[in-house]
Amino acid sequence: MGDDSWEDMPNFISRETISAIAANLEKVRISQTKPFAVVLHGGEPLLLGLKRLKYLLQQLRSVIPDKYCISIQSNGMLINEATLDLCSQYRVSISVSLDGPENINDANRIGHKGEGTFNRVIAGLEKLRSHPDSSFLFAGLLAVIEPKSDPWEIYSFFKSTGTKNVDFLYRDGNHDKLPYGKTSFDSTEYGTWLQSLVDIYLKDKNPIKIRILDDYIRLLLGGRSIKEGAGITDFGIVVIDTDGTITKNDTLKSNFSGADRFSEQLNVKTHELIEVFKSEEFTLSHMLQRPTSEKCKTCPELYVCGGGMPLHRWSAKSKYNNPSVYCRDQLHIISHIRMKLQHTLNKNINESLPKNGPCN
Amino acid sequence: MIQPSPHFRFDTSVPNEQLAEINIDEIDSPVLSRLIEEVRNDSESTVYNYDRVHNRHNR
Repeated sequence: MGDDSWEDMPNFISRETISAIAANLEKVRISQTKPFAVVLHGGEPLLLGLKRLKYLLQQLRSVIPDKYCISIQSNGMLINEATLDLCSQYRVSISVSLDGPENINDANRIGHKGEGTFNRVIAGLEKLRSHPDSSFLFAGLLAVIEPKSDPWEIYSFFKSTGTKNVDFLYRDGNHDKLPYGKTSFDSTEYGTWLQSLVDIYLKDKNPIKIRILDDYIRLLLGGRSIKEGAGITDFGIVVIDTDGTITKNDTLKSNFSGADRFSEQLNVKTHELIEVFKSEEFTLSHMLQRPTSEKCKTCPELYVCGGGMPLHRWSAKSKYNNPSVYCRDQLHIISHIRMKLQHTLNKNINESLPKNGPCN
Repeated sequence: MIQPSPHFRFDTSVPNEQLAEINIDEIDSPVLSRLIEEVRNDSESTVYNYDRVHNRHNR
């Protein structure tokens, strides 16, 4: 959509920038008690090559102990044994982006010559699966929802890959530019697709984990979500570009170029992350996760829905002061899961209660 | 974690006291059994032990 900032970024991160990131992260680690996670994503992080990647991971692990997650989000095509050995050594897991079977994946994930990437991704997955440290290294799969696909086919395919879990993402989109597959704000193509998926998921006797559905179910049970886009937990997110530029949540830039930028040019080589985190502008960007529209604030499902992701609330007219463009989809799937839970759990609770007669 | 705004209305299907009454062994769905256990034992460690990192990437 509206993002062209990558055009000004260097292809590779320099040693100077890596050192500055490591120095910053060490200060963050010392300043806060909660662990944080570092995710390398791109573009394609494995394009760095083994030598540069080793330097990056070495530097990160020198300041971040193993209990802090470091993960790579990869297209999977460049996975090889040397890379896997390196990741195993530095306790860095790998998640692979894959949308489904070949016809689904290759509709959008293509190489430089327009060719489908499916076979190369599967070859990379096979190497990941067969590595001796696979149970740690293979973090899972990340898929974008194709609302016209068959949820059973997609779920069965992902189970066949040997993954432990998969996350499904809503597509980028907002009120000015509807996401692919949605015909109107009121339509529920994604909600209907997720409804079929959750029915399959709840019946499966040997399931993999599906993050987005787990979040909805956990929230409906009174628990918490683990990711922005559902629930009302706030997640602190900051992005560092290859030139060291510090930005807000990069998903925002799908709305318009520069939506993820701070008003001041911030860089890990000249600014301290811990000072950025204390800034009012960072607090405001953080607070953006909370919906502001009256419709959301008075919605009985807000605790579960959370107003979705900020990028999906955008319109040029009202900025982020809208419900999510996926509002109807979220309400649809939440309502369906609520009904399923009530049916299953009320039955269970009633059956587990003492079967005494009425009191005299 | 930042506390919820007073505007937020809590409306869950299964109040915590009811969750405690559920007999996990009688739940047919392994997904549901696991998630009930996760919520019952809710703690930072439960949430953070999850493979959440790879799921952070949203694009």
